[in-house]
Amino acid sequence: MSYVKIIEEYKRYHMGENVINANNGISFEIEQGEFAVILGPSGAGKSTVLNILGGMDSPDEGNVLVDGIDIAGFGNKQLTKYRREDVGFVFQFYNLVPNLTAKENVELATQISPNALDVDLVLEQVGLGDRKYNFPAQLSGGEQQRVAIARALAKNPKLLLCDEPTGALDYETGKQILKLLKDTCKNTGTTVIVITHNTAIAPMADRVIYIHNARVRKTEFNKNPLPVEKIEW
Amino acid sequence: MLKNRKRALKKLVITEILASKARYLSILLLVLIGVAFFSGINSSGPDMLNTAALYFDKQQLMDIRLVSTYGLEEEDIRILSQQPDIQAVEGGYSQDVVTDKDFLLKVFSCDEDQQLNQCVVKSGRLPEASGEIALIDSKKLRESYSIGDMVTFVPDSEDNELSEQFKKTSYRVVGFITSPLYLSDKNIGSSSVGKGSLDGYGVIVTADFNLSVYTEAYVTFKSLQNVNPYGESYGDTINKYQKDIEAAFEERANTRYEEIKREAEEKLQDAREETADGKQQLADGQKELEDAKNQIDDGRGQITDAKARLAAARQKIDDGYKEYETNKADFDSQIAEAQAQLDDGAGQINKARNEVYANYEQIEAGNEQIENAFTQIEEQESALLSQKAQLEQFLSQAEQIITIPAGSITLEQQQELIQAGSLISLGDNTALGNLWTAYFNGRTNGDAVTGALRGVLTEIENGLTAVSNSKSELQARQQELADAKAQLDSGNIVLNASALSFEEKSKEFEEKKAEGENELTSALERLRAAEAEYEEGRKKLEEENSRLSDAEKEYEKGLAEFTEKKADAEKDIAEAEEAIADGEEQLAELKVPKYYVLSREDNSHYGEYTDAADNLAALSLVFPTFFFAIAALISLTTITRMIEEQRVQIGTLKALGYTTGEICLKYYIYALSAGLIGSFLGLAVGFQVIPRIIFGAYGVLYDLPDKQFTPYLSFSIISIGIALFSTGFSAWMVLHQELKSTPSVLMRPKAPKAGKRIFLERISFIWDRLSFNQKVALRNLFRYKPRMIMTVFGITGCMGLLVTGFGLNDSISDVSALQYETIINYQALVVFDEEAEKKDLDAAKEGMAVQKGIDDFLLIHQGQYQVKEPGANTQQVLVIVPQETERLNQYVLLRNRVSKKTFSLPDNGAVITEKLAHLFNAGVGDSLTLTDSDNQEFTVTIAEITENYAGHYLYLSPKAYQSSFHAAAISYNGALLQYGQDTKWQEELNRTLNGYSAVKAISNNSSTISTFKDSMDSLNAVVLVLIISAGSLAFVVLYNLTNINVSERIRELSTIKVLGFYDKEVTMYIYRENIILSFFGIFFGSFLGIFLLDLVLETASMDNIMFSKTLHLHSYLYGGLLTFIFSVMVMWAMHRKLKRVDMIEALKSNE
Repeated sequence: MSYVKIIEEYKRYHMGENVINANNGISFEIEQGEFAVILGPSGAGKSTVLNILGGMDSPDEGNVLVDGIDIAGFGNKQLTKYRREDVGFVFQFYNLVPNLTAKENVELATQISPNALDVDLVLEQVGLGDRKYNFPAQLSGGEQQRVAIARALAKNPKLLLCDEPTGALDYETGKQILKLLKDTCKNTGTTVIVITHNTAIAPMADRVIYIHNARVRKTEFNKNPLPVEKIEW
Repeated sequence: MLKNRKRALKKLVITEILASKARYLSILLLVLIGVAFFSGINSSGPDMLNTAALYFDKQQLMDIRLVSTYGLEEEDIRILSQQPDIQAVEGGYSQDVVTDKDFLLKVFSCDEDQQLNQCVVKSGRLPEASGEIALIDSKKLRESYSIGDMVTFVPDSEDNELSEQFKKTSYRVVGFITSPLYLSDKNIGSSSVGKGSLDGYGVIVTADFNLSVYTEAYVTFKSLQNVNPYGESYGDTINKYQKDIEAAFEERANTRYEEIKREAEEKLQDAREETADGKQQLADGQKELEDAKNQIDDGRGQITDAKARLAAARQKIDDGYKEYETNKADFDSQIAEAQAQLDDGAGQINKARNEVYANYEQIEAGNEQIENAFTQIEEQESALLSQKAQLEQFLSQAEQIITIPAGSITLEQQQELIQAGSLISLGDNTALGNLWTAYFNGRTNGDAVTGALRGVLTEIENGLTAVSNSKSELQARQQELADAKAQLDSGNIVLNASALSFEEKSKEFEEKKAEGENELTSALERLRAAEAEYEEGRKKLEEENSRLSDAEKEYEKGLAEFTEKKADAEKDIAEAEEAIADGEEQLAELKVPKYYVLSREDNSHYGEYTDAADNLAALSLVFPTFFFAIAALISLTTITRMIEEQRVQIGTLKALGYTTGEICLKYYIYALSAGLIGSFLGLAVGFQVIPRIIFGAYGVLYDLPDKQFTPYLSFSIISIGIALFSTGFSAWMVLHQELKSTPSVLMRPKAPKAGKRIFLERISFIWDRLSFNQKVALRNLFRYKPRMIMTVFGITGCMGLLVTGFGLNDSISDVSALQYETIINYQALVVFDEEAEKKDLDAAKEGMAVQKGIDDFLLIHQGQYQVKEPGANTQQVLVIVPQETERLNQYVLLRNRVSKKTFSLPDNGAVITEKLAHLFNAGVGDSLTLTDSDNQEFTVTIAEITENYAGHYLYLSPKAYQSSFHAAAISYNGALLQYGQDTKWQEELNRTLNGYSAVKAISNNSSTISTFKDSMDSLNAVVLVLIISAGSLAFVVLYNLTNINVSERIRELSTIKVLGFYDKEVTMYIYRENIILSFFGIFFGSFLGIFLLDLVLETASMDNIMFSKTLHLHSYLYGGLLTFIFSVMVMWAMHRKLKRVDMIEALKSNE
């Protein structure tokens, strides 16, 4: 039994009289501790998959099993609890609270999470031990994203969901962030799912799920994923 | 092109408004509330005055009312009419009277052609004919009387003759009215009649009054027609005319005084003469009675004499009777004796005669006996002889038979012998027959038979001898009898002679007896005549006596009547003399009549109504201004936020080549249209709705017809101006700031405000103690300082208004409680008539002392004085001097308001009340000049200042009074009464006390309290309106600011939502700040409230009322709680909104 299993998942949006199928029968599996990449062009429906997987949205049809529990039928409150305890998010635009220091931004997550990790330790891990008292405005983009990752990790989540984590970063910084994610996956055993339109990232993943036109086109497995240093775009 | 642009702009504006309905509406609403309040409260006062002015004008309310201490005569009316500028002068009557249902009414005269003070007929009609009445249109009277009912006036005391005031005492109710003289149907006024406080008024036709002088005269002036009575010019003119009329009547008062004096003197003279007459009559009557008495006494003497004479006569008659009786008795006994002798004689004669006759008879009978005896004896002799013969035969037979043997004799012979023998008895019951039987039977021998026969023959022989003896005896007796008879015959002759002499004697006796009887009868007759004469005399005497008794009775009656009449007459005379004395005294004390020229201001309702309207003006300054300030600030924040949100759009437009003006236009239109629409709606509400609410609140007291709701141009312009300024100016400020930047800068998102450490973080011992959430909240608070300040400001304002509102309520309600429960501890002030006589005064005091229910009373000297000093209006002060200094504290609490230290009345100066001291800025040690009604001035030194809330008082110890007022003696002309009774009892007390001639007036604190409460209650309604509006303002402010806060931080909120914050936690994440700000606002608002309350009380205060600035703890609590409730309501609304926030959408974009 896979750790994450999406079965025949549908999501439709109504735009006036038109119905747009954002996800049109998506099915895939991800094993525990895997570094998975969901790849697809803009509008392919990958963000919808992430939203549903992250408990921010519910599918219209299908099952979404995470660690054996179907979250597809969760209500608002259950979804919130799911987000609170089981999922860590990393966004393209970091979404840090500007009025809080790096540490406080992490604390924002840990103070509501039951099995939170030590904030300072996590910040140390992401390499921000010495910047933790800085406000987001005082940090570079990469550093901000590290804070965001630390905020996601500090909850000790089952899943780490990253939505275009490198989208707003320059090449070097992007690679550093990817390395951090990969290392985290390797060192902590956290299942990491990265959503991107950047195909260059695919070789570093254990599993690559290609989504196109609201469907899973194919799933690839890399027996020997490339280290981050080796990939280029 | 331009057209197109304009169209595009118009479209943009409309789109913008539709896109941000809540924001646009909130600006509009804030402006609306501000404008509505500003214009509404501002216009309410003038509306009230306009309504009143129109009403007065329509009903031709008098400008001046003239009254005098002696009423008004035609001459007075004439003098009034000659004053310049007079429009109309009308004399009228009014009297206070008690009705059968125990209402105390002031009854006015009212005629069809009456021009002034026309009543408004609420139902029915005005009285048109005698015997009709129209009553005040009040609930009380409406409930008790209906049209068609009869109202009867009853005297309030026994010596009150209603006929001196009215021609009729029963009136038919024909209508219900309101008079412009009274603006309210409550607290009509006090009265010296009955229970003391008027229940209402009524009008009857003039003809029903029976008064010789008018009680008042009303005047209107030409130049004051259609002049606003609340304007300055009206006041000035009235003051001038008042003085003119006063001057005109100064001379008149003296003339009138002389007139009254002369009349009084004449009257006194008449009275004196009348009294003298009365006395003479009394003396005459007395004399007449005395004469009658003498006559009766004479008659009584005569009767006594006559009685004595009669008694003597009676005695004589009685003696005569007695003599007659003795004479008669003597005569009778003599007669009886004589008769007895006569009778005796007659008896003897008769007896003798009878003896004679008896003797004759005896003799006769003896003779006869003898004859008979002869016959018998001869018969015996012959019988004996025959027996002898028979026996001798038988013997011979027997002797033969014996000789023959018995057997030889045949049976037949034997039978024959036996039979013959049975008839012959041989004595010893043996007949011869038996013997023969025995013989034949052999039982006897023959000799026995012959012997028996011989024995019988012997006996017969003896018998024959006896018979011859008897014959000789008889012959002897015959002889004796013949002798006796001869004797008797001679006796008889003697007897006859004596009988003859007796008859002669008897005849003589009869004659003598008749003679005596005649004599006696004539004596009796004489006596009877004397008696008849006596009876006649007696009867006459009785008649005379009864006549005398009648006379006596008549006299007694006359005497009683006279005594009675005399008492009455003496009383009358005494009274008349007293009246004369009084009259003389009065004449001596006769004062020059006082004329009072009163204006409308002297009508208490008029002043109260004006005060009520003025109070509103005071409120209208503070509150609406505050509303406006908040509204403007909120508009500023809202527009700022709107423009900031649209930086990109503005940048784009700018980049596209739109001019700054064109770009701004949209925002100006947006802001100004909201302001303008809000203003107009606000004006509509303000001019129409709020005055109605306020009128409604005052309606309990003042119900005037034709209420005026005028839109005032001034208030309209001011409020629209402020509204447009606050919205437009804020738009300009923000736009001015933003448009300075280049398009490229504008098109880039404005960098979020950098996080900053706040000052508090440096104080680690506090910061470290705070929870993470609290830290975040605090950091956020200081991050958005303007909004924080605005929120605090808004909540402070709301709290401040609420506290002011509640505080106003506290202060107002406390004034009454403080004044009449804490400070003033007496229930009534009784004022005595200064000119009352001592005995009347004593009676009244005695009456109070014995009155059950009065706990205690204190005699005081009291007087009304004026304080006329520069710096404040003239004030009326009640001076009170207690008879017993130390007892005043029992009735009035003297204490310093601040230190709460009580003190007793000092001897070295006066104690004045706080407001008075405040008005004239006088302190302890300063002096104050009091002016009395005769313009005399007295200066007192202030020794203490005491807490007091209503009215002005000046307390003096008797000593201090004597030295300040240069008075040798103090007349205690009043009393403070303490009692704990209900109003019904109090009315009864008033009635009782008003019954004393020395009691001039009674003022009950309870009626003062109710007046006070009524006027204050109406203010409470205004307070309520304020509280509600303050609340709604708070709600709008909080909602708007929170809304802005949420929209500004929607990204942050989405993030924490994604992080797994529950809905509640999300709401609290942002609302925690609001709660903190609310607390700050409540805290600051409490102070603002105190400040505002001060301001309002200062502006709203009346000269004679000191509001105690009191704020109860619960007022803060209610204010805070209400504010908090509004905050929570906003939170709830926000919570619903935040629940629906689409977190994905917010996170997608890069601002």
